[in-house]
Amino acid sequence: MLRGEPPVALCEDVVRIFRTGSGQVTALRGVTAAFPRGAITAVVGPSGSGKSSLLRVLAGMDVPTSGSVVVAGRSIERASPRARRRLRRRDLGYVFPRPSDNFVPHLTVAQHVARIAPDRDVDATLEALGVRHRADHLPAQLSGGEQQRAAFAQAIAGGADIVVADEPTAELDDASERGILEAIRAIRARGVSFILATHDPAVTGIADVVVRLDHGEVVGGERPPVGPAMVVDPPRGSPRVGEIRLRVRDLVKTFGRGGDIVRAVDDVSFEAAGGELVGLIGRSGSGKTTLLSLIAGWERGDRGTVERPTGVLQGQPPWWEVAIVPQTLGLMDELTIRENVSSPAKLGGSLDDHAERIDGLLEALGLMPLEHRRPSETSAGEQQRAAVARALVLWPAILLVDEPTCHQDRGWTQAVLTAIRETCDAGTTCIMATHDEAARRFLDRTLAMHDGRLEPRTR
Amino acid sequence: MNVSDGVRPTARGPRWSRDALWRSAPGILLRYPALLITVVAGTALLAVAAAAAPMFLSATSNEIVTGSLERPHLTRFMAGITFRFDGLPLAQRSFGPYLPSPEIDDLDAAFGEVAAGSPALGATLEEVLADPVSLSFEGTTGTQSGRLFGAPDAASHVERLAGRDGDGVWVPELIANDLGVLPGDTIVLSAASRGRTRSVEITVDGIYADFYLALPSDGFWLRWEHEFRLADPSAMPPVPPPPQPLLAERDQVLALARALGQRSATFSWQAPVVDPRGLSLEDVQALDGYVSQIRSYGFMQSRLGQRLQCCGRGGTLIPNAETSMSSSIDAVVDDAERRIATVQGPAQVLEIAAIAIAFVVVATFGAFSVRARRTEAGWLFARGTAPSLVAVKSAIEAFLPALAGGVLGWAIAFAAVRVVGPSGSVDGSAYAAAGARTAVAVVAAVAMGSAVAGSAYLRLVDPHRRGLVRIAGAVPWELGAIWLGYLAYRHLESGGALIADERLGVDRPSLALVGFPFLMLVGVAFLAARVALLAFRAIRPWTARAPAPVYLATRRLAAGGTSAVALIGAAGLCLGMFVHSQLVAGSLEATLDAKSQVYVGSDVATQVAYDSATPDDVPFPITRVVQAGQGIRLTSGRALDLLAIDPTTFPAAAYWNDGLADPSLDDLMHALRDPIPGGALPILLAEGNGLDVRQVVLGTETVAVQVVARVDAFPGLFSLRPLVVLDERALIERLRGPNPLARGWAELWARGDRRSVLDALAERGMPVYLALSAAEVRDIPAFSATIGTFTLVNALGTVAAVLVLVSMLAYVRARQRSQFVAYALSTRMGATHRDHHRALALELGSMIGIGFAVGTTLAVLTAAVTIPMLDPLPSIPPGPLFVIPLRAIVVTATAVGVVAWVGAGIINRHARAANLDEVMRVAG
Repeated sequence: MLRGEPPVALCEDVVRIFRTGSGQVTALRGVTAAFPRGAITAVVGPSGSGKSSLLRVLAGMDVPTSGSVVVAGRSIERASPRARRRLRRRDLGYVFPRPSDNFVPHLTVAQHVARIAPDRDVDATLEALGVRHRADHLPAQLSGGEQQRAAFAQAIAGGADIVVADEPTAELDDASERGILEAIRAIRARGVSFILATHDPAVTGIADVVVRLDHGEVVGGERPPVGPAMVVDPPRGSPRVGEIRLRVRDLVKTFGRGGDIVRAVDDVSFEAAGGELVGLIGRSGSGKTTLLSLIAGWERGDRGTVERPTGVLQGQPPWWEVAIVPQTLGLMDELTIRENVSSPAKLGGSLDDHAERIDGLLEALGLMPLEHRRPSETSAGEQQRAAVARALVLWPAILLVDEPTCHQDRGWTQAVLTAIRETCDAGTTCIMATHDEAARRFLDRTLAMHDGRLEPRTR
Repeated sequence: MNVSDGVRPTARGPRWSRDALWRSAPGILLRYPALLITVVAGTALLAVAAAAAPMFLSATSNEIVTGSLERPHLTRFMAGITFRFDGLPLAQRSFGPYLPSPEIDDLDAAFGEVAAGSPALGATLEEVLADPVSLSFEGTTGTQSGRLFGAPDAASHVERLAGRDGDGVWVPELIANDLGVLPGDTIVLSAASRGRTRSVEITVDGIYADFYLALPSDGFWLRWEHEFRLADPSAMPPVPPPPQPLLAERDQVLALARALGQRSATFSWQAPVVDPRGLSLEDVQALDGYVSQIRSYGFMQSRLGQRLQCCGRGGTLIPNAETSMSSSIDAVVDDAERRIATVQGPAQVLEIAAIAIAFVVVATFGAFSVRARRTEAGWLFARGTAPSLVAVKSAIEAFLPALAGGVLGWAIAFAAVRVVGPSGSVDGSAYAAAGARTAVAVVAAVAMGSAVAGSAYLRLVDPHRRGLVRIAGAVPWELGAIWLGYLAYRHLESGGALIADERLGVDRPSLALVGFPFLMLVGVAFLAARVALLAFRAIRPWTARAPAPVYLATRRLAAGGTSAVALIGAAGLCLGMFVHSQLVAGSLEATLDAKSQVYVGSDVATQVAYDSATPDDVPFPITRVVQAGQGIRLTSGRALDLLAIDPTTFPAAAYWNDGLADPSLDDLMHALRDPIPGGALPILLAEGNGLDVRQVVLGTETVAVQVVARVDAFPGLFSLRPLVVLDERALIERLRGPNPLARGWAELWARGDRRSVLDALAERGMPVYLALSAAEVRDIPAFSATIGTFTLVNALGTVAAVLVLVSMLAYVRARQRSQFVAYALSTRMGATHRDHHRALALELGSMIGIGFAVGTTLAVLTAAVTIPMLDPLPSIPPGPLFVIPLRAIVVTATAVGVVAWVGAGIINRHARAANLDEVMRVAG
């Protein structure tokens, strides 16, 4: 970053209003911000604050309703669609928050990069991001971290000067996150400017500039993260860790990847008691999600059992017994946020019994103002909170949660974890895959996975 | 590709060939079965619409040609070419130094050359008709004269009664009976020439049935009708039949005629057309052109023309001789062209309608192809890919499936035309035209689909454009379609449903006849779909506590966007067109059937001598009636028509429709038979509203009558005058003088087809002078064309409806597939598979059901407006009948329910079979 050099992107009084089926949403309310050249700029703020909207405008993928945006010397609002396409093709790389969104499912990693930069050395680009060994694999065969690194490889492959990335580390484990951040720093060193929307303090930590948004406006200073009432410590009023509720014995799961056999879960055994919140940690691809999937009954293990006090878990256990928050969230877009949250009670025939619980969760997770919106009309963080609320509605016996805070800012992370903790305190056994440091304070213990195995000390 | 060696081979060739995205495009739809089905089905419908018309029109025209050539007054003989030479000398004569004596062999050869000029003409029949001769047998001279007629195998064109082929002659029954000869007898033929009578003896080979009253039906004798047929069998005093032919081979006739001293004869060369079933309209048009050519002055001036006319230019120079070249092929062509003209217009409208529907489906594919691959679209957008490139990529992706759809559509069109279409052959040029149009359709479909894909891409990924599209989508374009439909209705109202084509002298069904319901259906169905969507959104809160299937279905319906509206609207349009065409075709058929049978009285009416009795051993219902229109009046002088019937046999044989009268036919017959106190003759009165009938004057007799029932119409109502129906026997009993009806004809009304009725009467020796069938009356080109047109609409509507249903299933399946995680989770929340099945069935059933209900209602309403305008025979009651095809509606409604239930089951099964391993993972 050179002092006095004009910024790579500049917003002045940018307003963006969306008209949706359920009304008008003002995502940006007069944002004014400068994004220095050759710097890493982090755009932070609670989910729903307008980060993604701002990034799309900066990437030339959207046009402001009013205000001025200049990127790489071009005025976005005045540029023709063709000029904006040229910007995206030549000067700018965009990375979607969900790793898999950065790929066409039937093309290999190398084919993606070669498509963007046919005349460049594909291997060198992949090497720089540490995914050269995955060059000929399909995206589905990559872990989340690998996918995201390959996405950055695409972003820079064409020689872009600016990389705009929305939550680039949201779904990554610590190690993968570190890898991405190192890559970002390395690329920045070559003069590439980064604009990153993030909740991740690690990302904010490497940022040269931080732009804070709240409710579509830039908020200045070192204002604490916005969100619900801050919960500094986890509620530990009446822990009721009791009898063993979940017993996993000798669980093994293998599957083929290319020509190899991968032991995704390798002889895993552990127990969890009622009221216990157990963290499942480990790198991307270490087997966390597969283990959750096996416990949930979606997949069948090659060997081993999952037992409840009532017996071996088989088939598809009901929601009140095993509730789930998958990474895909699985919200029904034809239902509103309230209806999605209510759906376990509604479909289970106990809507009246849980009315108060539903309202409480909507309130606690900041969903009440959005209750009549459809999921597609809300941000990724809001959808994720709705999925968490839906899992908690019936006070399930077992709760399986996969990265429930990856799209949340610090404030909403606290709220989500508090809600889960409170549910556990009421007797629910929760297994939560997470790489979020903030979650550790809420956990009763952690299980660390590595190459499909539980590390002995954590069992 | 292996990267382990650290060196990735450098790709060569053009950039697109190195781009895996483009390389994989041609086969990519194999990964998306729903899209593949949509594009194949959409193109198939388009190809059906494009290819069916030429094949349908060709088959129709060829059927018409075949039908025309089989008409009793035309036949292949009349349609062919006949060259007739009257007064051609039989003996070598000199007409001077520049006019040599005509050589018959040379004329044979010359006509042979003429006949060879058209492939539609068959083998030449060389015929000769000599002058009349008198006949005697064993010294007795008969009262009947005859004419030697020579033609190859002439006796095969008559009904042989006795005898076998030989070197003699076949004589008609009339002469055989007159002379009392039998086969094998030798008769004497005598003719006077220049004051001298010459005689020759000849053996009678056989006896054939007379045809002076009715010619044999094969048409061979039509060219000789004036020579042999009795012009007026009922003439008073009776006129004897003309001299009947004595059949022999031509050479023999020439020898006999020369022996009898006859100086000249009438020669004829007939070249009938080949098998009519193998002839197309193109063939007969070509023949018509050829006939025009050889009948032209130019041909007569040609060497061949002069040979035919024995040196004459524009006519023979032989004294007292005359030549003529004739053909009725122009009548065949004219008839076919008139009928085709009536079909073409509506067929084109239908084609446009079907193409419009197909384009909707293809456009849906374009939109689906992007929506179903949202991730790819987002990725392309982020990498600055232009919509035009996305469109080109979609075109490449769709090309092979579209080609398959085109071939499939062509095959469906071919099968549809062959199976449910007209029975005529299809010309090779029609196949070629259908193929060319299919190719254009495929290209158009690909272009259309790709253009929509490009547009959908922008709508999906570009929030800025999405807003503009939302605004554009809010414009109620349907009102425009309704307005156009209203204009079409006004056009119908002012111009009528049938438009006169002055050039062809035929009524064509107005384009508005199809355009009005189509436009109304387009507008109302799509508007109703929008309203339905709003209604689902409105009832959403009310179903919050409904059972899971209703709860889920209403929410899915309420969340349905443009695709749902398009599918509901398309279902309404297709099903509506299907019901509408059923309604119009069914009503028209019923009306024509009723009118024709009212006019004819039954299926077939035959005119017989008054004193003919009703045969009681025929295998079909038959009744005898007497119609009289002359000399029947009221005492006030007002003219009446009279129908004298036999009430005992009438109900079984005559046409009846309960709409013709309030009392049943049995009650009416009882009323006619039951005597009335005071002795008045009971009568029924039709078309006599307000008329006070107490006495009827029949010639010189006045009969007291009493109207026992008034009817709106009655079988045999043949004019707009009031019709008096009475019991013939009861009338005769009341007559004091001679029966005035006996001066006329009687009719036999029978159920069955014309041929079998006539054959049965002929077998019983009943001469039939005239025969008329309801089918002949019904055969009005404009209306048969209209019925045919709506039958075609029916077929297209069915294909389109099936396609829309398939698209609907594909749409719901694609959505379920994209939500398989939510589906899997919901089953754990308490929604059973049965709940899901029911919810899907409710959703599908609602979408199709709304389309069906709207379409059917509107079809009935539009048909109720148009059908009264379609009165095929306004002078014959009853008026247009409105027949609601309840059976078709019930069957369709049932089919809708079955499709919804079974389709939901299939989709649900697929959803259940989703890979649950992926539930916890981030989907690609």
